[in-house]
Order: sequence, then C-alpha cells, then structure tokens
Amino acid sequence: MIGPAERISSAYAVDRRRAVLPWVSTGARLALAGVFFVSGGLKVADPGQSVRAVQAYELLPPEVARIAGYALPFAEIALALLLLLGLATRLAAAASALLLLAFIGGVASAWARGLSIDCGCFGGGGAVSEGETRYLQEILRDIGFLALAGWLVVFPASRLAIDPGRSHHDEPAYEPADEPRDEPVHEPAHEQRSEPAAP
Amino acid sequence: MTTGRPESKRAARERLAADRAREAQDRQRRERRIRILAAVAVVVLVVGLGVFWQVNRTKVDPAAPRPAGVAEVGAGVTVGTAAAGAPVIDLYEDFQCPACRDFEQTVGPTLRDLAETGKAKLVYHPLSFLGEESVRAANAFGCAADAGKAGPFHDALFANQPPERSGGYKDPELTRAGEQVGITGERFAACVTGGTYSGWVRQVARAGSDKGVTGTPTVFVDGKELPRDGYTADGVKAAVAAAQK
Repeated sequence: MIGPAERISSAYAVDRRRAVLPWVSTGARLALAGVFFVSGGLKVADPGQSVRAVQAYELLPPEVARIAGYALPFAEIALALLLLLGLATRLAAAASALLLLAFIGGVASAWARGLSIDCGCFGGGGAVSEGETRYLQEILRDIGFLALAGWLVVFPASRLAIDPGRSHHDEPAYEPADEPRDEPVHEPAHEQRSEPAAP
Repeated sequence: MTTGRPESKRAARERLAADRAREAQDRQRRERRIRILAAVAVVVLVVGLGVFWQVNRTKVDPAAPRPAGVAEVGAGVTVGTAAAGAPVIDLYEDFQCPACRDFEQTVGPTLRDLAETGKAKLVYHPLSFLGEESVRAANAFGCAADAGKAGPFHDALFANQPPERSGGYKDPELTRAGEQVGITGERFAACVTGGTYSGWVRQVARAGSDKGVTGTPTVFVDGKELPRDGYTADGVKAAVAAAQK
C-alpha cells in the first residue's frame, strides 16, 4: 500500500518539478534581460558619461577605458537580447555572471581604495562627494543579479526560448517515448539488410 | 536459423535504436553549435557596431576653430596676467554643474585674486557633461574669449546658473550675459548662435577625459590634482604656495 502510493506521489513531484522549473528559468531570463536592457540602454545615449563612469574606477588607462565605456553598454544589450530570446542561455548566463563579477570586483576595489564614485551601473557614474557613496547597496544589488545568472547557468532550460525546452540530459527520456511507435514499420527492411550473415 | 531470427531481430532493433540515439545526439550537438555561433555573432555584431557608432559620433576634429589665445588643440582659456614661471591652476568646470557654482562662490574670488596679481596662471577648461546646455555655455565662453572678456563672462554665467537639466543657457540668455559684461556687436551673437567653437568644446572634453577628469570641479596645480579636502580658499592658496617653492 505504502510503496505504490509513495511512488505515485514522488512521480507527481518530479512531474511538477519538470513543469515548474523551466518557467522559473524563463522568469530569471526575462528579469535579467530587463535589467541589462535598462542598464545598457540608459548608458548608450551619453557615451562620454559612460567613459567617465569607467574612468572613475581608475583601473584602466584612459584609451582602454574609453573603448570599455563605449562597449560595455552594448555588451549588456547584446546579453539582454540573448536572454530575451533564450538563445544559448547557459553561455549567455555564464557571460552575464562574469560581467557581474567584474562589476562587483570593480565596486569593491573602488570601496577598498577609498575612492568616492558612483558605480555608474544604470547610467551616471563618476566622482561623487564622500558622503554619497553607496558601495554596499550597489554590491548587494549586483549579487542579486548574479544569483539570477547563476540560476540560469545551473537550469538553462526554459520555456518561450529558442533553446530546446529541456537540457540535453533530459532529452533521451523524451525521444524514445514517441519514436518506437513508428519504428516497427521500417524494421523488417533494415533487419534483412543488416543481418545477412546470421545463419 | 528460425530460432536465430528473433535473436537477431532484437539485436537489430537495439542497434537501430542506438543508431537513432546517436543521430539524435549528433543533431542536437550540431544545433547546439549553431545556436552558440549565432549567439556569439549577435554579441560581436551588437558590440562592434555599437562601438563603431560611438567612436564616430564622439570624433574630435583637431582642425576645428579655437578661441583667441588658445594655442593648442583642446587647451583651455587663460585669464589674468601671470608672471612667467608662476604655478598653473587648471580648473575643469561645467557651467551647468551646481557643485562648480558652489566652488565658484567659495573659492572663485581667491582664484581670481591669484590670477590678477600674477601669483598663478589660471586656465579655465569648460567641460560639457550635462547636456546641450553645457555645450552651448562652453561655446559662448569661447566666443567671450575672442572678445577678451572670458573671465567676466565666466563669472556672469555662474552667477546666473539655470537649474540642471532644465534646458537652460539658451542663446538669448547667453548673449544677454555677454551684454552684461560689456560684449557688444553682431560677432558675439553670431558666434553664440552658430556654435562656432562647439568643435573646440569637444576637444576640451576629450582632453579632460584623457587627463582622467571624471567629475567637476577638478583642479590641478602645476599638473598635480588637488586632494579632495583642498577645495577651499585656503586649500588652493596652500597648493599654490607649495608649487612656488
């Protein structure tokens, strides 16, 4: 009595997990895409400001900072696009995670070096007066975004995506379920061709 | 042989299944590779075109006309008459920045005094961080330099600074500020409305960026950036005194 019931309920739980997880990943994808669209979009209009925001970290030489200031907003927009479409989700999520780690590292280093800057995360950036820094909030916010990216690295399979709805680990369980049905029709022909030496 | 048939049939079916599984796997792998390539192409394309666009529209023309007395591409405007060898105060400001207005109120008189008495060479670098109004004001500042009134015009603008991001410093306001300090004539008005020195304004912005100026006001005394707690009358005086030695 207990055995079958348990099996049914656990199978049910697995099914539910299978049904819900991809939707959670869809949510994470769209949320992170939204974050990157906004943060990138706000910076694109004012390239000079974007360059100053990068320069304010005092980590890169001016010329490199200039290119980084031009490129970063578009990198964010490109990642947002991939996440929105669900194209190469795991790769896009991994790249997002790396980018966010770089941002967190940058803010932490600015904090550690005693600089007074705005992170320039959503536009703005550059020097601010000493009482106006918000390093802790900026880092915590980025860690929240990093969690979204981390989720997608672990569970990239999602609904409403170009990528297949299930990760390739799950897929074999899918395919045999619908394929054997039409298999016997072709089987004899194959069999005769492939087994002539059997006797 | 008849007994071997079911046996071989099962083997064949297994092999067939294995073949199909392999094919499916190959196909999945191929499709995955295509998706990854497409994703990389999207990133390269978006970032490449974006950078190209930004580089193009922030291009600085070294041949753009410069105001009177500006000897080099992207250099600032010198006010006052400093003795040769006097320390140089480079002041990077944005006419639209409230912190610069506060700085002008507290430290401006000291700077002017140092410049007028020849104890220091004061160079204004008008930056344009805060939209088109900053650009218009900086351009007009260049026009005022042509008229030999850079200093008074600079002070007049800060005395009547419009609120940030309100679309201030319109051409009529700028020409009126010019009249206030005694700049008359068509030439100034034409220079203001025509944006004669907007190319120079971009040169100054690039030069400031290359110098690592990310906020305004920023002061350098003889090339050394003033420490953040030095943005007072005494701080500037001390820095100039130190540079004189």
